[in-house]
Amino acid sequence: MRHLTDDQLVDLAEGVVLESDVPHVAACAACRQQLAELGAALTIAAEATVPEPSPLFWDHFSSRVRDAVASGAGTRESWWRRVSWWPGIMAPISALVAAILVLAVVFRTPGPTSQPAPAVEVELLNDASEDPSLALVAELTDALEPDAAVDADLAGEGSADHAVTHLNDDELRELQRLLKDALARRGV
Amino acid sequence: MQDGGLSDLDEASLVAACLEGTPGAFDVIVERHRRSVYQLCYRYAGNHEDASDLAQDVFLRAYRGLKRFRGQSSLATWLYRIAVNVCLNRVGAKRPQTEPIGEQQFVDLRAEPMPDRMLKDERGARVRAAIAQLPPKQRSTLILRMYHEMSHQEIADALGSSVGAVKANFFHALGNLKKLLEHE
Repeated sequence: MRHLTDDQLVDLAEGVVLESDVPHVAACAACRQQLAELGAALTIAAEATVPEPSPLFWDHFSSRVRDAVASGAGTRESWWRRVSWWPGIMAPISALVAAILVLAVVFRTPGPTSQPAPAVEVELLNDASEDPSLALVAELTDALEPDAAVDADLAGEGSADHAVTHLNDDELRELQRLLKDALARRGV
Repeated sequence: MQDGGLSDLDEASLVAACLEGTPGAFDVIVERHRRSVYQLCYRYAGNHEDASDLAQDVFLRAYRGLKRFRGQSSLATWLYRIAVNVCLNRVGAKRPQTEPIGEQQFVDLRAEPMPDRMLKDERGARVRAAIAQLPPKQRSTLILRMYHEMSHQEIADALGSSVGAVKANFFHALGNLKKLLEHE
């Protein structure tokens, strides 16, 4: 006797197909049992409702989205954004960034002690928009579109995307140094 | 709020208006879909704060990627696809940070008595926690089918899968859900 397939059981459990239209159900205790268990699971799953937020939340939410869109919209498209649309360009470039980060962590010079960093270096880190090396890193990670980031397996914890956005001060300084050296060698 | 008739536009016209830069057009899209996107995100995140952040992220990515929406699926399906990707990438396979039982954002005191509601909340929280332990595709299939009433074909489109695989994942998701709850 051929039992019902998963597809058929799902259709029966959801009422898409009537039991009376499937004679096997009446004839097979095992399939009836499976169907009953599936129905019970559907009932259980239906209990997982989502708490409704305050009515005030929705207007506030729409405002937040509007503000986020406005702050991100209208920015001049950089050359990097145009390049990042080239098919297949993001994965190797992101791999290069990841390799630089690994080198920075493995071969970094002994870091400073727990004493606070000198004021000049802190200012430099904060001023990423004027520093070509950090600006390049910021553009690399910012230009990743969702699909490209997912395709390149970059969006999760432990990925390049996550690593770049979670560097501590020492790692940022070392990355800055490595990138400056690389740019200097290329005559930038 | 007057929106110049944008609220009356159908989906295709609304998307076109957004792409033309019509002010307020994307606001209408957000208003139409914010609840369902938030609820989907909540089912992954397990708490209001994370769900709110995830939902905001979904709409931001939708805005940036709107020019790639070709209308082959409904806008809701397309948004759900973005939401599933965002949630799986941010939440992943981790157990979500669930809120304490009874800590809801809005309580309607005219509804059922407190003990009944607390029992229902507790059961709901247990089921949500069990769903969070399912493998990603099973979890996504169950959420989209059970709570967003998407057809198997729409789910297949959203997840980049086939109808057969969707039904199989749904079947196994329900079986695993029952086992997880029985073992608690």
